[in-house]
Amino acid sequence: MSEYPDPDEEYELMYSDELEMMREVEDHVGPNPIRKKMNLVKRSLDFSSTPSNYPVTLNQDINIPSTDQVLTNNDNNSISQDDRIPSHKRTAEELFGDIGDIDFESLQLPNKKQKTEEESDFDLISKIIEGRRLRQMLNEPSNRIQADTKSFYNVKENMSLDIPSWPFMALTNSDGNRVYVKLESEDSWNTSLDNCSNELSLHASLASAWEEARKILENKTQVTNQIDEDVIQTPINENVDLWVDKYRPNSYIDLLSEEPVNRALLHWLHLWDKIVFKKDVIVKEPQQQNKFVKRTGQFQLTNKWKGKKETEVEMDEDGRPHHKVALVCGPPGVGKTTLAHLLAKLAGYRPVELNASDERSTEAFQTALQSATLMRSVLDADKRPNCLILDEIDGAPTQTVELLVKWCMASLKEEGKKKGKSHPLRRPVIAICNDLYATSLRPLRPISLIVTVNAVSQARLSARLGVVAKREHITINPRLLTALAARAQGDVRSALHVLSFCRARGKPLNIDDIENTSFGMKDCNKTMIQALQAIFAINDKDPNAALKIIQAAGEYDRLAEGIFENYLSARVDARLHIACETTSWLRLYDLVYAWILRNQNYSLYGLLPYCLSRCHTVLASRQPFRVKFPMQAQDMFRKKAELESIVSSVWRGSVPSVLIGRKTLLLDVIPLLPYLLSPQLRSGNIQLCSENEKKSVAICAGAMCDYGLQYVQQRTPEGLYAFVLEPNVHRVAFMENIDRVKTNPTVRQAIAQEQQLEIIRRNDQMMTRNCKKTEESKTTRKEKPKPEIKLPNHLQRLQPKAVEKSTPQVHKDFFGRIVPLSQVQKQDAVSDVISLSNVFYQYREGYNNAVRRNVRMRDLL
Amino acid sequence: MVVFFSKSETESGVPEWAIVEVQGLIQIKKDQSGPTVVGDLHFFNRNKHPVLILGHHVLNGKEMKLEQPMAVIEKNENNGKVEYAVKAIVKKKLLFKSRPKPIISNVADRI
Repeated sequence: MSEYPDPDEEYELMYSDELEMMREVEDHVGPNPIRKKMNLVKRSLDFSSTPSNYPVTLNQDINIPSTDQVLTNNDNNSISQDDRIPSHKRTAEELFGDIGDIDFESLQLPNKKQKTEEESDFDLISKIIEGRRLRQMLNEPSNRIQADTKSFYNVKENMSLDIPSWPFMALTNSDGNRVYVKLESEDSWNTSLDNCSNELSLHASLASAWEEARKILENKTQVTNQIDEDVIQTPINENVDLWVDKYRPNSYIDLLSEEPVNRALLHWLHLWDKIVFKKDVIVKEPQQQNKFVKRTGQFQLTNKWKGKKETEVEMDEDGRPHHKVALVCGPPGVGKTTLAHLLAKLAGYRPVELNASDERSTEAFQTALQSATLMRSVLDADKRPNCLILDEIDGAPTQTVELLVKWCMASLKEEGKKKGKSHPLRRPVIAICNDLYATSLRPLRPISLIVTVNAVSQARLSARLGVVAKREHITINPRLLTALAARAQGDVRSALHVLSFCRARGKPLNIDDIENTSFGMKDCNKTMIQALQAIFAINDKDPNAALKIIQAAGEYDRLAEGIFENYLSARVDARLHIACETTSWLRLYDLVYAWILRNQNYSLYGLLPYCLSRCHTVLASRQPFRVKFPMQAQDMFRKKAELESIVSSVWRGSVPSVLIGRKTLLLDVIPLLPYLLSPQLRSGNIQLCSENEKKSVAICAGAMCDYGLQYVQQRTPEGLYAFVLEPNVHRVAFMENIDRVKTNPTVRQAIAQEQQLEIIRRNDQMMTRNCKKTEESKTTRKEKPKPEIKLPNHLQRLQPKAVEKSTPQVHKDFFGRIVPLSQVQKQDAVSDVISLSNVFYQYREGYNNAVRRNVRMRDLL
Repeated sequence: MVVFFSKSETESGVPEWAIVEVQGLIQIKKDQSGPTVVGDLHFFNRNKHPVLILGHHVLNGKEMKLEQPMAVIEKNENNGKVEYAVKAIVKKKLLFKSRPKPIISNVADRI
């Protein structure tokens, strides 16, 4: 109780100023009515939710002044006076700022000097005041402290150096001066007590004020209670810490996780001491170790870390632990992050957390890593070295993890060579993940110390929940707590959340609440295979488990594929009723999913898991069933694309004369094409074949040319060269049975040769046809102009031929300036006999005028 | 391209000619009646290589011996009788097949 102040008390301390203010501005509308309302609401909640607590706190508050001296009363008075004049307080704040304690002590000092000998109670008072101040400081931000710092003893009023008029007691102080201290009468004592009680019974008046305010509120809103109340209450919960944070373990013994796990991580952290704190790690002697094992006998078996320690060398040559990173993994909510933080603190580090909400790109990660491990906090007073905690590292991209690994592997000796280019790891790094086997963590796993935090045992969890409930003044049946712990499945966080949620609702818990609360699980991803297994297995405990798992897994289309792949083998189904039922559900699924995708309207998306879970009700069986991973759909899709590409290449390659629609090509031509392409020949040698056979080969070659097919030589895995049809229509025609119509390799070769010749023949034909065409076109062109000239000869006139004027050639120099003719001629005059000669020589390299003759291809064939 | 050219040389009464073979064409700018001077044929003193100067080109060639010697024969008809007179014998050819080198005579005074 001393550590955790009662919430009401805490509230009192936090809002005492505001309460005072409120009382003042009660009559007229304050500057911010909303805030006022809020405060009022807060009060009301405390009254309504914990009526039993309230008187207790009141008594406590009253107790303090009644047991103490008059002086404390005066103190209280002075507090109230100060608070009633907010302007005065403001100035004090402005003047002194945040130096509350200095202020306090300096004011206290003369007080002590004068009184220490006589009134030992002063010490007590000051102690109490100090204690209160400290508690306040612990509980809330510093700006509230001023209230207490001014609560010193009013020296002038109660003491004087002259003989006063009021009743007094004479004292001698340390300087030898006489001091007169006021004596209080019984009456004044009582009045001061009354004052105090008035002060403290403030709650009552506030309660009445709240009643009024609530009436006004109710008149205003006129909204029915329940929903509205919830809405009003929500802001309150925001102010209060989450219970998870509030009851976070503060010491090693508070940890809920298993002892060996904690110990392993802590030990690993201590291994860093040599490089971080420059002190040698004390490695325990084996005997001591055994002793320890004996003492904590129950951990002996589960403690993997122990076994490892004996065999492996834990430090590398740099004095760093062998494992550079500790990888803490476990289900969500068991306190991995808490464990890491607490242990880092215990080991003397300052934990620096980097989690999924921070940027995870490689550059950002690198800067974060360096700043966290190379720097040291300046602002922190204790200057402890950092310990980097990478939360939810399985969500980080692979590159980031690889960077971390690379960085960890760099040794200190390399650093010396490179001189500051790379900064190897000098601080412990704790990585936290849910899924140890995430693909991105693969490089990290071998170099890290893997610490598995298992789910918290039910007994420990329920015990802890009991402690929390007791602190929160919830009366709850231990049976219920056990049920809650069982329901949470070791998830501390969700259990605490449920507890606090139930408390916030204000109703007493019952077993149904616990059974029905749906646990909002964090990071509970189920893999597709898990979901498939759940679909094909009967779950007696929870009929809806399959649906939940399906929803958790997502990827409904893959799940549907998985069901489709496995539904025939799942149960004995002689009459195919089950198959019919399943397919009908899958059909509905397809219908809905197709509609969703077509319309891009995801309002029906929530229905998809229900279709799948219906399949579960049909298909589930008690026998263990090995679920096949859905590969077929992918396979088939790939195959389809492949075959379609073959068809389209045939379609594109075929000659216009045989071009038909793709569908007709696929259905009517391609299935028969292989038969056409495999003529029956007695031997591979065409020359030896009969006329009929030659004809069939020619037809075959022609067909191949028509459809753009070709025999291509390919190297088989055995190292032989085989002729393969390209594009391979056999695959389309016979699906997989390519060998159904198989031609002899020699025949294939013959056909290939024949086809080559056919291609050349066709090309030649095309060429000659083109030539003929051009010739024809030329003749027509020649003929055509003739009819145009219809003028008879006698009407024709001779056109005078235009005389070409030879413009005198102007010589220009490089810059385009006209060079005077005389200069040009002068230059020409220089030229000698050689350049003037009429004969000149034209060199023709590689020219040979040997006899040539045109030979046509068809002459050779 | 081969161009037949003959060059006279005397030896034991019958003149000996030679074929001049050139890789290229010899072109004439203007049509001129009468014999035209095509170029100058020289021999290097040292190794007896033929050098032909054609227009503004210098051609370096070599002397080759013909596999089959040839005779240049003139056909004469005298009163129904046909006579063949040997004008010359060709035993070798001068082959100019390399790329010609230009003769640059008109060099500017100042560059």
